[in-house]
Amino acid sequence: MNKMPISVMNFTAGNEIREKAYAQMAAYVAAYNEGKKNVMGEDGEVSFSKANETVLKFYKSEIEFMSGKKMSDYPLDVYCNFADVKQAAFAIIGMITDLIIPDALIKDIGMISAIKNIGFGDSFKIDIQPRDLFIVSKGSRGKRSYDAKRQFKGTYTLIPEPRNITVAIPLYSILSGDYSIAEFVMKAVQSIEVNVRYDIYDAFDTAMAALATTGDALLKIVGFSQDTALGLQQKVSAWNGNKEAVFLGTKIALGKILPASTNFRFDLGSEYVKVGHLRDYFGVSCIELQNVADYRTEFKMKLKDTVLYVVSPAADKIVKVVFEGSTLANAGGNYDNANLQVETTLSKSYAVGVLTGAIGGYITL
Amino acid sequence: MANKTVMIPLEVSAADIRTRLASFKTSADVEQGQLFSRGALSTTAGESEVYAIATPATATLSVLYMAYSPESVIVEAANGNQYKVGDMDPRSFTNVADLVFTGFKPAVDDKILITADGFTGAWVSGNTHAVAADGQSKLVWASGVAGGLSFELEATSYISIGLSFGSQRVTAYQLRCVKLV
Repeated sequence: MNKMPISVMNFTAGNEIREKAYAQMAAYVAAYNEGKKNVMGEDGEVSFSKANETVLKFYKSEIEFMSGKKMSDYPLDVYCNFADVKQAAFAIIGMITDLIIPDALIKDIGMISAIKNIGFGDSFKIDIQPRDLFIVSKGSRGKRSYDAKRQFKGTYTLIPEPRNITVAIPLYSILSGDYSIAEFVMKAVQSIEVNVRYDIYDAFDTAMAALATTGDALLKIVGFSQDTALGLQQKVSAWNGNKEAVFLGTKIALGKILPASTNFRFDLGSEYVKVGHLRDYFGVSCIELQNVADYRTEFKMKLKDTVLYVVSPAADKIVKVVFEGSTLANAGGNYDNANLQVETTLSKSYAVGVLTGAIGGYITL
Repeated sequence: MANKTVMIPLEVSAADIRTRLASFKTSADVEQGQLFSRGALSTTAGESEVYAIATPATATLSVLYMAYSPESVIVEAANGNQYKVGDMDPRSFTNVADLVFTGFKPAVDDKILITADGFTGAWVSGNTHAVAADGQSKLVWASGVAGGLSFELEATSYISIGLSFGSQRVTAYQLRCVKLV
């Protein structure tokens, strides 16, 4: 992890040991999500069970640090019911959420989106430079100046809106050991992350699908062919300030990228079969967007397998994601509700928008 | 919310002649390129060089000014508080009511580039000129010169603005002043 959200930096109050521990914790969670058996720790690669142990130890010490109460001084059930211990535990969960969500998003869809963090009460503003150059004209020698050329920046804003989720379990289910609030909270964190991811994909695809289909402005083409795809790639690269454009798509979509001449195909070798698509197509990188489940409709997939996107990752990212402040985790007490239901609410404020001076291309297969 | 007019004075005599420029103030917003005649000198203390403005009328069509100030966008809250929040988009800019702004007096052969928002209607085939008209604060498309300030359409061009994801060229018309009186 190169960069920590400002909310986490504030939370750790410049304590380098705590900052490192939070970063390590996020790395372990990411490794767990990716199904890795070994994790790169502070002192080199460690087994996941060792990482898990380290995370738990840190979590406990962080709760003790924040609440000012030592776990060993009390019976566990008494300790866990102290209000300040609970508040500390959920504040830490909030911070971890702030670390995990941007980290996961940057890794998976960093090609198309940039993550920005702002404080509570702020708005996000971006100025976009025009990509045009000035048009030069011939002029006579006996004239001091010529038509004044000007161009203007554009300004766009995003105002984050809160997304909230409350998970609830009857106290009786917790006492009987059937469920724990922690597993529900972990799912809530994942749900928020997935929601952000959907919003990014939706904003990206909607903007790309609306690109011009005719004339010189053509950036959306129907049907893949070697010439039209490479032509679009050249156009996107050139108009993004010669920042190399790549093909993006799901494994299935990328698998459709093949040389026009079947005579070339003998040279594809095992790479195509092993990876499922070409890594490079006539010098252009082909990068997979991992398809994800669309939990809003059972068994539906989120990304289209019938679309190839052409973007320049080195140019400005097409989608901007803005997180406002930190994640708020609000944990209720065991006896707060009349019906003895235990609740925890997570609130994350964010906004997603297509704000960029870059352009992209869209190919429907 | 409708976009405001964007105007670039390409070559204007007011760039060299200070008397073709004046300071104005009025109780309504004034867009860039908006036409008006010089009204009475302000009697308010501290505004001894500021004039009121008047809507173009038949008698004033040959002595009109055009509004043109640096594009520094002011946003107004419902309670009247005004803020400069750093909005760089010139289509958000207007010369805000009750604040002093600059106007220049076009002269024959002045060249300006002005977006479609600076006209009372859309351009149609056969519109070769843009003229000032009685009761109109914006230019009016015409097929020839009129009895006052008249511009000839030299070219349909564009103004580059850093717009998000797509075309950054806003259609604009290059006009040359061909008649004042």
